[in-house]
Amino acid sequence: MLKEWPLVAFTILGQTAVGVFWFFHLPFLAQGRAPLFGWRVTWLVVLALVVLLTGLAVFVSLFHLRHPFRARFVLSNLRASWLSREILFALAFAALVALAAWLGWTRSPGRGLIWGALAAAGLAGGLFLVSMIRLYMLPALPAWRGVHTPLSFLLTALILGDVTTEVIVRVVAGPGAFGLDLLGLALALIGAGILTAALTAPRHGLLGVRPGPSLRPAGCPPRGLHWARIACLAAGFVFIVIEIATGGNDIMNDKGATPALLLALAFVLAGEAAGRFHFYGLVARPGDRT
Amino acid sequence: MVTQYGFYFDAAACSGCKACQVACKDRNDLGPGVLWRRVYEVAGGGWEKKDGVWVPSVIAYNISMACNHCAHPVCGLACPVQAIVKRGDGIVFVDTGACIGCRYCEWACPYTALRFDARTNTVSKCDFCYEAIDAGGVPACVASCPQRALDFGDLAELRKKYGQVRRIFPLPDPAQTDPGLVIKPHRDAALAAERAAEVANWEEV
Repeated sequence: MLKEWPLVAFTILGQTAVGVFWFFHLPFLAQGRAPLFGWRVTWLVVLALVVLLTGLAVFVSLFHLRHPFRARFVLSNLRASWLSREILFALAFAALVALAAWLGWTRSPGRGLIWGALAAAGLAGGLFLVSMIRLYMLPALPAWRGVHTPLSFLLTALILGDVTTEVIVRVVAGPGAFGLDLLGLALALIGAGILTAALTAPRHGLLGVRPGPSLRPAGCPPRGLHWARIACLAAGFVFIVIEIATGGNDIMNDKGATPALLLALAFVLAGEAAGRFHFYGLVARPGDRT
Repeated sequence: MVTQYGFYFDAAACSGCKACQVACKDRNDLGPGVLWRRVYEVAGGGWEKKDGVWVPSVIAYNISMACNHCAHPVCGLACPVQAIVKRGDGIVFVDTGACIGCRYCEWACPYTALRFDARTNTVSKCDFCYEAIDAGGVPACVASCPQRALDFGDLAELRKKYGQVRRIFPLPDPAQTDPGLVIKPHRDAALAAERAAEVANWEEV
């Protein structure tokens, strides 16, 4: 289970990148304006971070390959393999976000071009997430084929995307100005994450799948990981409540993330990591004695 | 001309001696922990009360299982680099020179046929002893079975000869992959689910 750390890192980093991209652009999309005036620096920082996170995710994923130098052929089965499609959409997402950042950086006059790149990047990010989900929903593996896989992957993107975006906005732009109540939304999303874990987590959730007998030995991740996931998400929830209750930096009108907000991010990240290790522990690799 | 090779397995005849498993390892020079053919010992039951008397209700049988060279090989469909190839005669094999070692096919195969080989850092699996077959020979597992519980051949012929059964407890739904497999079930197999049977030798498979 712990050997799957490159996949844990890849999925969490990739999902966070997509979530940050979506959350940052949501209010601008709703207002029908590009994040250029007053938000250009923050926007460029967000896009740079998204490219960095996606690139790091792809780089880390190489560590789970036993022949990483052959990975250049990984797009050769796009017709049938969700793994090929996942990497295609990851690369497309990073490239389109980089293109949008470059257009923004060079102050390109083509507003339509920027919107086109952003829309395409948002779509590629969505397809990246979908292919990541489909990849694991194998008919051979009932533990992964249930509702938990899409729900937990989507919620990882939304929870970490939301809280990370809030941190970036606070650090770069300062408090108050962003057109979306990210903290309020974070409470709802983390609550949904806790419910999803408690109810649908295979083996240990109240309604989670209990795979029956098969030719594959039963994967039994430690129950402690399941509870660590819930406890860490709950701690993240509490720190966001504290952040809202104390007003964050709004009173001082200072830039920078408060300790409560940073602790909330650290705890939700730890919760998602625990949940993902639990996820990979659900399926044993037969014959693997190391 | 054969368009789809398959295996026949007689669960009623198999004694669980594992000669097939050993012959496969020997023929293919497999390293420790790598098993292309495995013999699962399925066991369940215990005691049950009948007319006020406790009687044993134990069931036990063996399943010898390798790659079934499926008509719909999900391992090959999952492989991102197309390193798993199906020949014209239905034999599915791994091109270890192309395998990147992502091990995704290990998850995709419901028969757990794909096994990681630490010596080559790639996955590997039963190749139906295709070199022997091409030379008019027999797969090592089939040749070694003292009970004649294994047979091989054109799947259509096997079905004519032995019937249509492709699933006994705890094998997966054959609709997932359309395996090249025909089984003669052991009499206990029908009771396995209700008597909570399970594989009893995970350390060996």
